[in-house]
Amino acid sequence: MKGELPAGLLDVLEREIERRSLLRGSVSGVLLLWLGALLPSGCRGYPSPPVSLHFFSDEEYAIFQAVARAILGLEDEDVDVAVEVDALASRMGGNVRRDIRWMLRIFEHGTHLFDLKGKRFSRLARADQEQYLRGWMTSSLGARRMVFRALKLLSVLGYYGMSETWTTIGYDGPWLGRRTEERRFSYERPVPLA
Amino acid sequence: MIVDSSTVEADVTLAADVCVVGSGAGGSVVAAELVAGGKSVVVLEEGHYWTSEDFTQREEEMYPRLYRERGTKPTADYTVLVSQGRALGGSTRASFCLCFRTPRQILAHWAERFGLSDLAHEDLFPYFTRVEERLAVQDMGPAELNANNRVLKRGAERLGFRGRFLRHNRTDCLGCGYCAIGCAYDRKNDALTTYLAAASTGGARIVPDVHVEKVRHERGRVLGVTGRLAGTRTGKSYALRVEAPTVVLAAGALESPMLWFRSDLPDRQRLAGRSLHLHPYLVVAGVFDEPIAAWQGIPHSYLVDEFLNLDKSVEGGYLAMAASALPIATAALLPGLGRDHRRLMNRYARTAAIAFFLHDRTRGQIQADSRGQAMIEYRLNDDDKRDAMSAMRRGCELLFAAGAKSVVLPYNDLVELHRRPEIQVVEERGILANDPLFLSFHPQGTLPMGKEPKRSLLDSFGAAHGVTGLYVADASVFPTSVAVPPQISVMALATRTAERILRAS
Ligand SMILES: Cc1cc2nc3c(=O)[nH]c(=O)nc-3n(C[C@H](O)[C@H](O)[C@H](O)COP(=O)(O)OP(=O)(O)OC[C@H]3O[C@@H](n4cnc5c(N)ncnc54)[C@H](O)[C@@H]3O)c2cc1C
Repeated sequence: MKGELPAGLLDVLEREIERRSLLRGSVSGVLLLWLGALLPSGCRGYPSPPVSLHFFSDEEYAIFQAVARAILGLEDEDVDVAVEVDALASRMGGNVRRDIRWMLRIFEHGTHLFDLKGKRFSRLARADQEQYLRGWMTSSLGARRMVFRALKLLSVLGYYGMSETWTTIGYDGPWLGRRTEERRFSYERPVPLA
Repeated sequence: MIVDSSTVEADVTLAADVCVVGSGAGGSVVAAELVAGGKSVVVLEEGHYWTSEDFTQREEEMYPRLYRERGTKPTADYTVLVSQGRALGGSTRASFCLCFRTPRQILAHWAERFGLSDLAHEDLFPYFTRVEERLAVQDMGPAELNANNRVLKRGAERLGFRGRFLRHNRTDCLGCGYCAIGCAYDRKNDALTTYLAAASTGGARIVPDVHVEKVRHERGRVLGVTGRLAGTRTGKSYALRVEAPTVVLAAGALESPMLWFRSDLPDRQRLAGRSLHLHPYLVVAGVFDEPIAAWQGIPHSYLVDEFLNLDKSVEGGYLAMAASALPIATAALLPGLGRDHRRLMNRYARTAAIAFFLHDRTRGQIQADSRGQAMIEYRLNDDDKRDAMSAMRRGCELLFAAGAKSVVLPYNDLVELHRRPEIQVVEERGILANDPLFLSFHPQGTLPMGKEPKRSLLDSFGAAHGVTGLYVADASVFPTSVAVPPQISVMALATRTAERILRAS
């Protein structure tokens, strides 16, 4: 469903990144925030997205696309999870949007710091991307596990919210629209307060 | 009558005998009972008035509509994601309709430890009966078992674990399976379609889309409440003031304590918001050769209660039930990444899932964060961690006994077991912050009842110690976890609270 409001689970992301105060409370969190401030932004060499974006920059779009594809194990280059999430993120609050940007930046360039790799995340081969993601997922630092969970949640929302993906998992979709059943309760019409 | 406040163009003041804040399991019952007893009642609800026409059976649309913070409010360390309804009818609009009376042993424990001796099972019996009649509660049977519940039952029977069919408040359920995102066919007998409908017919004024900010009180007496109307056509937010000598807080276990804080209600011992129980649960999944389609049919119809042995100990243990399994929620819960995650999702239609609800001894806390929002501090204590590990072991046994080819544990990374002995991995990994992931639908206990004003905020009727005219009638009032899904406990106690208000005036 392109352009729909973020699903329930999206809120975890909002919370996870809004609570950088939580990150500040742990040694690993402080380290992450500090590193985030040092890391580069505005790097060159990102491809232009095929559509106009509401929230992501070209760079963020490319990073998120790579993240989502690696998390979801997608081989199909045609599936555009980032454009779905771009629409979702554009409806989130200002702080959250700022923090998504921060999170993507630290994730993209953290390769140099956490894995001592010579390339940023979106330029790594898929196997290396997965290995790097696994490092976040199983890190002994709670803050890194939280960032992983946030990225996974966004990816899952963007992808499995699309009805086109349902056949791949054997989900037959809502009854509404394919079965007619009676609604039982007669709802009263609200009366104007003033 | 249900009121549409979108047309409002100025601040509004209403007056009533009683103002009820929150329209869920507790608030709806109080409102209906008080109206029947001749009181004028105003009900204020932050959520919107959604009808079954609005229920689309799509997760991404319904979570934001029906739930507070879209259904996934995390605890501070992200170990538990907490779901609370936010709609006219409260959490009951999203409920799975499971009906349990408060266990007799829990009530006996409350009498002994908190002096709540007038809440024995015999005392509450008429209230349970009254609520169950109103909700048309009935037993489920074999015809209501979907494949996921059949797996649980088969596993339990093969292992000799005690189990039984559940009771529910649905009538002529079609088994579409979308309970958690609203019944599009109105087959749930929830708070809106039962108690609130009766309250409205009886003359209560029910105002959705209003956020109550404070309870007004002076010299130990309640005066009413103030709030703000959202969603007006002008785009402006207007103040709503209700003058009422009696106020009933029924905003749920996360928000009623927030109202207590914001209103500066008396709390010398700093008890408000403490003793939070989440009744947290974790989900163990099993992959089968045959189709399961766990999203289809009534999500929960069978229960294994072998491991919640309240006769042995009133604390600890857990219940096992099948888990609801809509696709986005499942994808978010299933572990791993990349090909691992994809492989799990490719087997979604052959995956069964069992939820284990811990009767938690952990006592968490609600606090206001820097933005004035409820922040949940809750770190599982060692006893509950042990129970969680035991639950994962039992999940593995149950699923293998039922014929699973593999079992998937709820850790962040993929832990898939192919033989029962491999379950020892649970001992090696233990329980860390946010690994594994827990969920909660049943927060409770943040404004506890008790005999002693020094150790509690409310008496056994939900009346505030030391503030005349203030009552609480929601899941906040339990002094411990009730160990079972709580809606019937909330409703029975709320009936009793209403009776007390009628008697007091
Ligand atoms: C998905 C789900 C499934 C569940 N299934 C079951 C089940 O099968 N069986 C069972 O026994 N229990 C179930 N429960 C739990 C049960 O619904 C709750 O325990 C019960 O509804 C709690 O009642 P309550 O009155 O405390 O709160 P609620 O029913 O949550 O009602 C509180 C209401 O207060 C409103 N409110 C909050 N703050 C304010 C404010 N400041 N101003 C105005 N209004 C406010 C909220 O919007 C909400 O509508 C389920 C819960 C969920 C979330």
